[in-house]
Amino acid sequence: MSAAIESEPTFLDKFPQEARVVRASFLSAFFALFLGAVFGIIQTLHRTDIARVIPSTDYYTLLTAHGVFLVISFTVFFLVGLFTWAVTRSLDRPLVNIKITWTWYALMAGGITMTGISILAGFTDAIDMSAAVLFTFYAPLQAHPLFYVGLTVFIIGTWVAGADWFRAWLAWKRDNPDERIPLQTFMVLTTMAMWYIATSAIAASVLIFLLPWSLGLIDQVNPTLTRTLFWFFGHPVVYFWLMPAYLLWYTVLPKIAGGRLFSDPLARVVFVLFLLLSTPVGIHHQYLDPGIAEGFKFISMTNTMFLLLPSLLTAFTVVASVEYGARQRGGTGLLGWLTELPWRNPAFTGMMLAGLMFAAGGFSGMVNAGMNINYMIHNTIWVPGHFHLTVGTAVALTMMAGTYWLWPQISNKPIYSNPIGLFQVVLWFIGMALMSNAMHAQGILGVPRRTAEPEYAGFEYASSFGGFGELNIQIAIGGTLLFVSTILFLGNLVLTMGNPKVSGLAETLPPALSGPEDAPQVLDNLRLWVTIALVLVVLAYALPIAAIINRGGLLGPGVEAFPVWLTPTSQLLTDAAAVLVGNVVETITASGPLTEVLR
Amino acid sequence: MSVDISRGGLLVALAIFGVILYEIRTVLDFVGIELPLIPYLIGVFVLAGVVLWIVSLKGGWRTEPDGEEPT
Repeated sequence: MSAAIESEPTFLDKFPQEARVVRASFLSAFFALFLGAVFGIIQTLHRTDIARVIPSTDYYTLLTAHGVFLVISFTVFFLVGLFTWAVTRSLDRPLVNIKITWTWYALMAGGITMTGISILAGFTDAIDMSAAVLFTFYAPLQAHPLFYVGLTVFIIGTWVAGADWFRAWLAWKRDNPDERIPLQTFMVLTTMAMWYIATSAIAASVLIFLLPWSLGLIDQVNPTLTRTLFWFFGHPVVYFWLMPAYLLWYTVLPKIAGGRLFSDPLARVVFVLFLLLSTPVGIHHQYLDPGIAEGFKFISMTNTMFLLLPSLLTAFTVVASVEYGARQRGGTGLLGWLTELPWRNPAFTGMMLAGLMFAAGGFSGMVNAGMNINYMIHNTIWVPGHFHLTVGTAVALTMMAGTYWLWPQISNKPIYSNPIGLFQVVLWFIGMALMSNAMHAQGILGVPRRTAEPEYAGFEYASSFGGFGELNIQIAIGGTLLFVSTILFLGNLVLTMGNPKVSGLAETLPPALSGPEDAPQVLDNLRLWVTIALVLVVLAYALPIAAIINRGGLLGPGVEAFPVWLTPTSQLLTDAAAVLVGNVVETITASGPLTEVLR
Repeated sequence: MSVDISRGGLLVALAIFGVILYEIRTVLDFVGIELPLIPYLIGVFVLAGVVLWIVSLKGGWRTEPDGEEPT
């Protein structure tokens, strides 16, 4: 290794305080990954009837823990760590106030701990608390108030995190008024703008409906409304998970491949498109909801199809960047360049396999998004099969692979074993291929999702794809391989943390082949894109929500749209006022005609 | 003679082709050829192992550093 690289500072050397935050966020994410994986393997073996260590009545609690720990805690903690790294690195300056940074970390950690406790308490009868509402926590399932309070605190933490990064960018902008927003910061800011829009609905749903309902302040809620508000948030959250993976694919993967990002402007266009299009599509999760008119569903489907565009742009740009890297390394031929890529590097291989699986997830996603064919697989295990390819592999595997590249720079410790890392990412790919594929196949047979007992008495599933029992075996084998892969990843990381600190681990990210100077200035106009995003949200949601409230009432049919405690309170106030007025009138009458009093 | 491909490349190629080979069983099922699941799955893994064994007999895969340092 050259002396120049030896002397080059790593992220930890340059920004030690921020590196601590990144490490803390990643470790929180990986703790959640461990919990989620444990619940995952128990659930897989239970559902497939291979081994049952819990009663089926606890299955919902288990499923909630698996979902919440993985898709809220693991992904979002990794995201905030990665974004802190990306903003600090690309602006090349520390965050404005590290105390604020630790504040949002503490809010998020405290919030998810509350939520986690409320879920895990469901496993014991000793505590009168449960939150078996699944990750999709809309009504009519009701959780303990602690679940909602914890989620609220967690989301407030992410809001403060976003403000922290916006603040860092504004401080940088004051010093560099004529510069383009650095690409990684641009990605972070557009993602957070999308997050603010998306979480507004879930905040309303929790604070106005679910939490007061759980506390007993209101009698009931309108389930369709809470479902719609959840999916207003529930689809963009998918892109919130995905954007860290995109950030790594766009800015880190080309570098590991030995090349450079193909096009900075295309990357910016993709992130703007996600900001615009990820929110006004949530109703495509509700194709079978009877309370929403078909026309609104159709609009949502059309918007969803537009979302294919940024995904396809990404496929093109990332593959072009990687191909450029391979050709720089001496690769030739139509496909011969593939052999010149650094496949021994677990960071590279993990991200490439994650991208490959994302393509497969995109195909099954198109089936989910199509209004007519969705009916065939709606609420079947096809849907978990789909999102284990997207969030479960494209996102999770990229995050693990990215850690192999990033961890040495935030800790100055080399990865304990790259061969174990390589084996781990390939094992994930094989495990997921088995599990997800069999889930898709079972879904086509009509096997339902979200149940511990997917078989019905007196009913046999069709025998295609090998049949229900055989597909169960594939799911169980795949799930077991995934669990082993997770343990290998976490073990490798723990052993890495025991490594001594060394120098020479610094990595730099090369500029794009087509740089920001080629991108139209308007792409950096965040106000414009946020405004358009809001207009699209209003167009997609104003009428459906108005119709839902009009038909079903704000708090359900036949229920007054105000909290129940207002009725006795208002009665009390009315009585008090009546007594007061009576007394006044009596006094006036007793003291003679009004004119006398006035005189 | 060593295989002019890195260990990672070989593993990835085997994983992808292994998955395809495994899925061919479903296709065979559609055309009426039913093969038992577990033996077939073991067969695919054994086949991958045999390929790795042959590669190691032929001198192994490419293990020299191949320019993963920062460019």
